[in-house]
Amino acid sequence: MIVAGLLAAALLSAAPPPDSTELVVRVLDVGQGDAILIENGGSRVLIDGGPERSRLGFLLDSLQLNNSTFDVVILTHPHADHLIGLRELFQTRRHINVRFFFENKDPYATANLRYLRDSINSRVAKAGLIYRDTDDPCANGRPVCTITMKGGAKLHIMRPFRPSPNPNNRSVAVKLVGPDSASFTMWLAGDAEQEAIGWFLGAAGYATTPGMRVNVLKADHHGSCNGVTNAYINALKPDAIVTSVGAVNGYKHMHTQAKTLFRNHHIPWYRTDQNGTIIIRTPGTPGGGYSVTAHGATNRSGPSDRRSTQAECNPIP
Amino acid sequence: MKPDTRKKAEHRWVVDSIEEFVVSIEVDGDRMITVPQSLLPSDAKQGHVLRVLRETASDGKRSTVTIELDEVATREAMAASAAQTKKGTRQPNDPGGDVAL
Repeated sequence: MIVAGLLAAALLSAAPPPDSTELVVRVLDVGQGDAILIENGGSRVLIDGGPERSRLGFLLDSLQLNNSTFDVVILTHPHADHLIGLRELFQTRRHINVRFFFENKDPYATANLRYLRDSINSRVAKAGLIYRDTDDPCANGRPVCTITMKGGAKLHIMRPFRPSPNPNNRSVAVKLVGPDSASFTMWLAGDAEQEAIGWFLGAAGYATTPGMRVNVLKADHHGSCNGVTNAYINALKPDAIVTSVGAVNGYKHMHTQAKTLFRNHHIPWYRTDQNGTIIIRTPGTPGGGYSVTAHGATNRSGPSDRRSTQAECNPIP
Repeated sequence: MKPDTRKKAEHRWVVDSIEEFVVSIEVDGDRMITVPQSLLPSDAKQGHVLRVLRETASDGKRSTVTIELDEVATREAMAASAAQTKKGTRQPNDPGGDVAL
């Protein structure tokens, strides 16, 4: 146990040098939710904050990220399991600077979203934070906006599916491209479900710009069977899938049907409830490839995994 | 935490998400719980505000919980949320376009 703890601490503390092209992606173990930390050349991006302020706060402390700058923060959609942890970034005592904040700005009734937006608006007024709407991610009408990190990695932030009563389908999709694009790319689309996925593949044109072929997929919606289709996997063609999921969850995640689909496509998966924080590294140099570091083997099952009864999963199209 | 011993209590729930008969609820603007969807009014959807009334019998052997959709509170909360952001407007200090960090 002590060895595992020390190993975890070592994995968490190894940030990429600011003067290098190395790209490090951490799919943080935040329980049932998402929080992905991306660092490259001294630039830092956080996609979602997980379901608990205390958990993200612990990780901010462990990673020594107090008194630092988060260049870009993205809230994929306003559900609590992606949102609440982000409130911790704005705690005064942490002295964390946020330069850009992206979210869909949809109205939603929860107090947690209101508190977060209060904090964002305060930083807009006092500290010049730039607050962008993912429906217009470049603030110039273009559907795809590119953020270039200091080490050369790029994030393509894509306009989400049209207004929908299902907030999951308003998740913004992000494609991460390593400094050497041939070595590493990753697709992250929050909790987008099959309707939004069909739109990514079709009318949105994301298969062409910025392109959907990637090395790693962050599984949509915590490994739910409604967050994947065969066409999606065929377009992305990932070598590996990472899933952020809580071991004990009431949603039956990961769904049996999703795991079966991944298996049928011969794609191994990692999952935070069984593998802990998953770390992906690429040196960013030509031909450098990438590596995935996690505790334990791939393709594990968790105690909450069950078969879903949802119509869209029986079968998954 | 001490148990709530009041005979009557009212709570504000907001439906955060619904998936496969499981509902994530924000309670009184603070903590999150999950409840079976079967407990909620059938019209309850994501983003709705619910008024929850709990009454406890004086003999301590029974409690009654009423959960009702609060359409006025939902409209007010959604309007307040919409007013909090300025959709479709660019900040004066945002030059727009791609960003090089």
